[in-house]
Amino acid sequence: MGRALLISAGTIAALLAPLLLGSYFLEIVNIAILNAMLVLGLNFVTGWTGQINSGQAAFYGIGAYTTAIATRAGAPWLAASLLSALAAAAASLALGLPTLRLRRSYPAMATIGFGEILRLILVHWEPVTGGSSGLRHIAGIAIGPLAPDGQTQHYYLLLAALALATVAAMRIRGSWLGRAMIATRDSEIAAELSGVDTVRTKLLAFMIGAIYAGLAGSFYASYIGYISPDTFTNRQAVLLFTMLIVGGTGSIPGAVIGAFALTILPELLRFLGQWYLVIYGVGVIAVIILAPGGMAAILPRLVRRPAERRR
Amino acid sequence: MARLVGIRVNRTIAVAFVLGAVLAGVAGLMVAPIFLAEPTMGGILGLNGFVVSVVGGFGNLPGAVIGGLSLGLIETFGARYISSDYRDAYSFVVMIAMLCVWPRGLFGEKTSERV
Repeated sequence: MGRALLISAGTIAALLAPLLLGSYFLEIVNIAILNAMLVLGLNFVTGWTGQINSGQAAFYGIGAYTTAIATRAGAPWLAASLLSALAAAAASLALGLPTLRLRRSYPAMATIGFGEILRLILVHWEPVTGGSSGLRHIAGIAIGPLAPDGQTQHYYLLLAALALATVAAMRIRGSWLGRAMIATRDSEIAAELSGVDTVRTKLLAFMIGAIYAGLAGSFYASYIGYISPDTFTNRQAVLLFTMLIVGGTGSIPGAVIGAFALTILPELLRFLGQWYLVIYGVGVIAVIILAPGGMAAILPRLVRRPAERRR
Repeated sequence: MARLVGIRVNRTIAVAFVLGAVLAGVAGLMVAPIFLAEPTMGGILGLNGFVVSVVGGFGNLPGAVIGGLSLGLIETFGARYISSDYRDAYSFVVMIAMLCVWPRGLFGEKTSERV
């Protein structure tokens, strides 16, 4: 009952948001939606399969640059977007195949290295990627006759995409693959002994995460219209990681909440000037220490508390 | 396990951490006069350190030395003969290649996993 109320209230608030927010703030919310898609993708790898992945920003970049380059070559947006997802999936397969057989911190290091290699390629392969000044005038999103214009229309399109991404994540979590991921996270040896192919599970999680990032990158490139290597560095990867931890590792609402909180909070704290980073950092540490389950673990407690008190 | 045989676990970890920091400080002492010092220089150097231990093999001193030297040579020769733009990338390419063919590193010991 409480949950259904919460979901419907959230849906109504999300649908009415453009009426209340200015165009500048709506743009930040749109970026938050894209970040939420990235963090949902990261959640497959880190939250459910238990692997540290620092490559999410790199797959984001692969998606964005693929769409930018493909639409410049004259491809329709939808085809470019599919190509972005494919490119990210192919890159994650190439990187994951050798490194996900290993355990411990190896995948983490390999993905950090991959992010750094990609950044160097983006900066130095100027004829294709535009170098450190990036690519400008990227064609906008166009799905058949549906071509959003302005912040509000983009907002509804991105919101629909996020809703689809969330439903897909829920369906995968409930499937055999989702259960295999959780088993792999809890104990790789026990999962192996129960007949779970852990390497294949990790690889699939890695690829699904990369596809989420590739699609988010495709949306980002066409929505903003301009991309440069700075957006897709390891710094961004660490930020996505922080969003997942603050929101709640392994939780779908947590991934979305974390992405929204950490994208919007710096804007709200802007009046603090230079000090905002201090408050922001302390806040993140406070959530990690006081609520190890993240914000997703706090919210139900706040909702349930009044009912329990009555007893 | 270590605690059962009388090792003070926390102190040992702290001492290892301090020794690592001291060695890193000595390396910094030597690197600053040759290159330059800036606040964010540590990131890429720290990653290189990890790459060296992957190449040489974890927990192996000769491996660390030989891994470090060979990595330095690969970076410098790569910058000279292939392209200096991708100088920092060579070490990561080597690391990923190493993880593919020989994850234990050049001199790594075979370790078993405890259940």
